Amino acid sequence: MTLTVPFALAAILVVAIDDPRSVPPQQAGTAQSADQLIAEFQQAQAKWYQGAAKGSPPDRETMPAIAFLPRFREIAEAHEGQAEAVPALVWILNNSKSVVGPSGEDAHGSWALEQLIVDHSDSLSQADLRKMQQLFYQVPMEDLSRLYESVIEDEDLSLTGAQARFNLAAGLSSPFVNLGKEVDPARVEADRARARTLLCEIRDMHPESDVWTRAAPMLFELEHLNVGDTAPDFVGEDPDGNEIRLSDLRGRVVVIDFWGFW
Amino acid sequence: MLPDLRKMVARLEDEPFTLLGINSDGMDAEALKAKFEKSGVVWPNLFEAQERAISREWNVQGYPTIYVLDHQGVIQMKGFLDKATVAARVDELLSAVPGSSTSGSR
Repeated sequence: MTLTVPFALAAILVVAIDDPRSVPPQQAGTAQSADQLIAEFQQAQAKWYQGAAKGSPPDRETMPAIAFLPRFREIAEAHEGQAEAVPALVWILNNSKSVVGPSGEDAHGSWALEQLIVDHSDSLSQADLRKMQQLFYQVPMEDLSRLYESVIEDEDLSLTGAQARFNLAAGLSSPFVNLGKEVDPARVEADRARARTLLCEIRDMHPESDVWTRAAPMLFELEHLNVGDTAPDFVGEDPDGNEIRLSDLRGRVVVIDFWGFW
Repeated sequence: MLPDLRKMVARLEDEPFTLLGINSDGMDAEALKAKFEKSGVVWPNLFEAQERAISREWNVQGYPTIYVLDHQGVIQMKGFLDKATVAARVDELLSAVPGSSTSGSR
């Protein structure tokens, strides 16, 4: 962290010295939008992974998110309550947990979520929410639910409301959310039932939408792929073009392995 | 991982058991066949190419995702399972299959 302080200070100084009237905005460099900073972050991130590709995993201490976190926070604070803050807040939520580590207290993340709930839940777009659909891996579902429920309330029948339902259902039905935790099975069942209801609502409201296309497999899994269900049939071809049908294997114990070499 | 699967397939060669791979590499068929040969992948594999229709329909979120079905086609286990757990469960399920060499032995 000691390294990031001078960087952040330098950034503030440059902003202060720069006279915006004498410099075309695209050359100002430091007074960035969140979108520009996201592009810069993605480049740094790609470089960081590339640098480590020769055998060892990348060094956590040098991961770009550490240096970028205060910069995104700065943008979010500078635009507090305005739409420009949203992409910065979403970035913080997606990345701050990886900076503090699994057991660390995620103060930036909690702050960003509070900002989104209080200032932005009635103005988030479908695209904003789509960038948040994996957040349940990092942010506790109890907290995320507050945001999504509030969007659903405001945006009930719109595509934004549908995307909020998608995000909520994804978290409520994910086996990862409760991994390694003691959870009441009745609670898990209730969450899965709620997820099914939300997904059916997406289908009924927006059957032609891209959100439903992406949500359909989630509902299929909840309805047909539970332990105790008879596996739905499928048919495909092997690389020689021979047809393989799952139901032809009835009478045999079958392990289905979704895999790749990569 | 592949060595464990090769072992399981070899060990259960004469049992009513099938390991069915659903390969999502997205390589073309010839490249995949060469790779299978080189790596000793001798069990049936569906070739998902680019569309990944079955992985998509089954909402596969990561690899490898495994489903264990009993001889009546009922899902007994699912998820990111380690191969030892899978092998133990398969043995247990095989003992309930009429015609398995281990049936009735437990």
